[in-house]
Formats: sequence, structure tokens, C-alpha cells
Amino acid sequence: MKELHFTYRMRLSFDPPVEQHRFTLKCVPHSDARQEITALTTDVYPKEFLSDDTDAFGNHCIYGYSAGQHDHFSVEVTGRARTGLSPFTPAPPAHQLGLFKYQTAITAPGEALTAFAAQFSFPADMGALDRACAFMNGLHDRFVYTPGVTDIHTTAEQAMALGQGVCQDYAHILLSLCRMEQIPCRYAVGMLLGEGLSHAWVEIADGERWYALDPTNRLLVDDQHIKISAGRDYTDCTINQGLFVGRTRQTQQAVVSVQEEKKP
Amino acid sequence: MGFDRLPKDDFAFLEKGLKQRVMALNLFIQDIYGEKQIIRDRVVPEEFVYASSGYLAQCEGVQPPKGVYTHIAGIDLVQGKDGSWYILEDNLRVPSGASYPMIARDLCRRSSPETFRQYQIEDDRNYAQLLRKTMDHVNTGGHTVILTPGRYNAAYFEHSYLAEQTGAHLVTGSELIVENDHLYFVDYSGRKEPVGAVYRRISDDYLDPMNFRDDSVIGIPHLYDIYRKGNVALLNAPGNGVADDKGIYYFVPKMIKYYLGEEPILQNAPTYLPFYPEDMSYVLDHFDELVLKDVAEAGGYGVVFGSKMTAAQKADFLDLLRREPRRFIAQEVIDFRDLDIMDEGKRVPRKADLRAFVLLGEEPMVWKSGLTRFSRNPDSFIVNSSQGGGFKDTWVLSR
Repeated sequence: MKELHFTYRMRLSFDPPVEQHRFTLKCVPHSDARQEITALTTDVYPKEFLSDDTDAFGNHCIYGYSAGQHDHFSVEVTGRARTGLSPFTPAPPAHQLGLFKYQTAITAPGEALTAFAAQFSFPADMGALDRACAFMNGLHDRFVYTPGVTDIHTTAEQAMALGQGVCQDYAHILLSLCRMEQIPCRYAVGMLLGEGLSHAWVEIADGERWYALDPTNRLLVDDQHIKISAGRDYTDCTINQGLFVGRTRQTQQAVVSVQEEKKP
Repeated sequence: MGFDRLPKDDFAFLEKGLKQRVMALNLFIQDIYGEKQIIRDRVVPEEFVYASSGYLAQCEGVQPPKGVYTHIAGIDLVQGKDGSWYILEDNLRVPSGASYPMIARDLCRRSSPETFRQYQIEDDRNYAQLLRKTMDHVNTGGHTVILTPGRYNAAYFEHSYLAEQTGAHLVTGSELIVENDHLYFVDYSGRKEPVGAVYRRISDDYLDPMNFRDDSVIGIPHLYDIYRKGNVALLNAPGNGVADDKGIYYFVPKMIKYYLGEEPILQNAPTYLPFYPEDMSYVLDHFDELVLKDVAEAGGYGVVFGSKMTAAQKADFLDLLRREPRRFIAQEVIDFRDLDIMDEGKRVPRKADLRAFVLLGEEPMVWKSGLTRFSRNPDSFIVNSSQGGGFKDTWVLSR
């Protein structure tokens, strides 16, 4: 168990300014069996119209609208979390997990993934978590962490064929492999201890429990991760989605910082 | 007698069966986006639900106002030569066509008023009232609008006619705005009026670029977010496509038994799912007698007749069928009852079907009319207007 202090800061600059800006943010963590959010502040600019809700996947969303001209958009989320409270979170019964069992456009396997999956063979009585861990280990050996070679639209199949990518690619590939085995699984977005960008990993359901696997770091999630959102793939967990009027050049700066709280 | 003149007893039978069917379909959609008991009880295999293009994960756990999903259903029926009726298809997304018999009846009344005095024909001029009642039932407070993609849409006539007849505002996406968790209609002077019900004539994909296709320019950003909060009614509910999928069609009689505990009054056309091995072997043995339909297609596309394929086409198709058995349904070719139409001044028989309109407000209501559609081509079974089909008014006789 850890006491963590976290900050997510993102700033989008527009040159020239934009107007009629609609946005949806999924960047706020919430408490569950694994983590307890003990303090939370959020600040969004512009804040003309702001609202919030929980989406179909249970993720916290902030959505809003700014009619007037503005040259930047920013969000800052800070708070404290107690993590590692449980090795799993409760999952619904199997008949309610179907939506996480089928491939999406991003996770659909092609030749590369099918060939990779064919290297694994599991005994019939092997549990979902053990199969997923076997996939994670196999993937970690075969895939090289390389920033900049893939982008947010890269599919699991494209990344597998390339053999390299970032956390999003590791997660999509692991989802694809698990779904080939009919294991219900979902994409998770959150923050990892240290300084950097947002992180992505995978949750798989086994016997009414969600277990979290971080294939980029080849580990079962314990107390170093703070989860923000989950969905079928990256598209359900887009941190910042926007729509505005104006031909503009955008530059984005984003930083995630997670530090252990100093003990008094 | 053709069903463009529908005897009273036939209509009463259809009315009962259609109400039952729509009630079950509404319960199915509620269950799929909620508890999923029909999957737990293995009545509908989950593959058919989650592989359906009409299933929208964004609808999980979302309750529409008053629990109504299928406000306006267009159920397509055919009548066999022996007089028995079959359901051909359920249309629960944005079924169109009610305005055509409305306008045809209006023109007939004007040109031949005596027809409607001499013959006992049910007055069908209440469609707008039924529709208004359906919209008012779910309205969360505010105006009722009909949302059209615009005047270049093929169904724009219908959108504007229904708006005129129901007294709803006809609007495009650019006239609606979401602010502070509510939907507003913005008039020419910039004044904002709250909207409580949207009869939307655009598909789910284009409804809200922040929640569905982000390249949609005809939708309203954040509309779905306030719908999820219960602050506006959308007719029909997003996500309904999961229940009118051609693969799901096979299971509708089972749904009626499952949810209502009743025997289905109306039957499906005899249908086989190659997904089930025993159905696959039947399909392979009787291929030439069957019509095969691609579950992902609509509008009369993706429909092939086993008997009309060349040997090479057949080999290719069977190959595809074995690889993707879930993608197809197979049906017995029903010997439709022909209807007479006028073609270049001559009376000729053509294949036809009937689209019945079922509106679900406080209770289900079946409009005492319908859209009779016929094929232009004497050899064709395809009645869809996008493939050259024509239409007729449908008379329900009052005796």
C-alpha cells in the first residue's frame, strides 16, 4: 500500500485562437476497491459551461463548452490516492462481460497477431489470469519499447507487425491476444509512479474479479498505478476530446507526476 | 383480396401480434443494455449481440425517459399465397415511410371523396396525433422538435410533413445547442427555448460528434451526455439497432416467450442460422430453395437467392458462408401474394410487402394504415424504394 500525491496537467495552445469549443475530459480518477482517492481538485480553463457525469463504462467525465475566443485550453487535476488496497476489483458475472470479449476495430488481429498467438498453447483447465500472464510475458520478450514509431491511431495488428511501440500498443496487443482466448478484458488509462506521461495497461476478468496487468513493465498492478478510466480500447478512454471552430495550430504540453507522500 | 385493402379481422390479428412483438423488442433492448438476463439464460447467444453493428456500448446502463426505446417501429410483413402472414423485418432505428400513405390518402380523398363515403375504410388521418402522443409521453419538459439532416436528404419531405402535421419544430443540428446540461432550440433572433423531446431522423452514428462519429457535422455535440442524464428524450433511442439486426430477428419469437410468457401471435419467415451446425447442414442441403441475407446489410442489399447463382458464384459463397457463418441468415423463399399495380396504364401483379407502424407511448398503438411497397420489376422480390420499388396507400376496412 502507498500514499501517493498526483498531478495531471495539460495545456493546449491555439494560434490563432479558436471559438465554439466543445470538450470532454476523462482525466479524473475515482475510488474503487484497489485505490481510494482521498483528496481531489480539478481546474479547467475556459470554464464558461462545465458539467460532469459518469459514462457507460463508469468513467468520470468532465464536459463543457466555451463559445468565446480563447488561445489556450488547460486542465489540472491534483490529489492524493491510497493505492494497492486490493489485488483486484470486483467484476460483474460472466454474462454481463460480453462487451469486453469481442475484438474492436483497433484490437482486431491480422496475420502478425494470429501468428504470434499460435505460439501459445494452454491446457484446458488453465485460468484466464494465467493465460493472460503468459501472453504478457511472451509479448514483453518479443516487443521493444520505442517511443515515436507508433501514434494514437496505430492498431494492435500494425504494432505487432512493427514489433515496437509504447504502452498503448502493448495494451492493445495484450487485449487482442486475450480476446482471441475469449477472456473478457479492458483497456485502462492512468498514472504511474514517477514523472512522465499518462500510462496504459490492461484489466482482465477472471471469476468475477478484474486483475490488472501492465504489459509494458511486465507486472501485475500493485500500488504504483492510479487508474483513471477503462473501456474496450483507447477510444473509450480518450483523455481529452475536443471540437472547435477555427483553423489553428495546436501545441500540447502534458505532464503527469506521481510521488510518494512524505511520512510525517 | 390484396392487403392494400386489409379486412377488419386481418388487421385485428396483425394489431395484436404487432403490439406483442414491439413490447418484447423494447424489453429486449432494455435487458441488453441493462441486466442481460436473456444472455445469462442462453436464449440469445452473446455473439449475436456484440457482433451486431447496431449494438452501442455507449448505451450500457443508460435509461431512456419512461423506459421507451422503440417509440416508432416499422415492421415489415408479407402475406403468403395461402393468406398466412409472416414478419420479414423489424425496423427500429429510423423507420421512414408513414408520410407516403398519409399524402396518398389525402390526394385520394380530394380527387374521389365518394370512395370514402361508399366504402367502409378506416380513417387514418390520426397518425400525427398518435405520433404527437408518443413524443409528449417521453418529453422531459420543453419543445418537441423533429431533427432532420437537411433539405437534401431523401426523406426531407417526410420530415417536414410530419413536423407540419404534429406541430413540432423542424430543425437541423445547427439550430440546437447543449448548454448547462439541457438542450435548447435557438431561433432566428438568438433566443433560446428548452427542448424536451427530439424525434431525430439522423442515425445514431451522426447524432453527437462528441460521443459517436467525430466527423459528423449534422449532429449536436454533447446531446448524448444530457440524454444519459435524463434531460431530453431521443426518439428512437440510440442503440436500438441491436434488436433489428437480421441475426437477432431469428430470436424474436423466443424473446416473446421469454419476456412476456406468451406464444408469438405473428410468425417469422422460416429462418435458419448457419451459426448452428444443424441449421448449416440444412442450408447446405437445401441451398437452391433458400434466400440468403447478409446481416450487416440493409435496404435490400446483400440478399442473394441460391437458385439464381452460377456454379462459380455458389462455390465462392459457400466458402464465405463456412468461414463466417454468423454473418448470414437463410430463409425459405415465401411465395408472396401478388398485388395489382398500374404500370403504364395496365393492371399488372407485383410482389409486395406491408410496413406497419407501431408507436409505443404509454401503450403500444398500431396505425390503422401502413405503407404498401411493391417491386417495379416483375421478376424481383425487392421492394425497397432505394432499388426502384413503389408504394401504395393501405386501406384498413372497418367491416
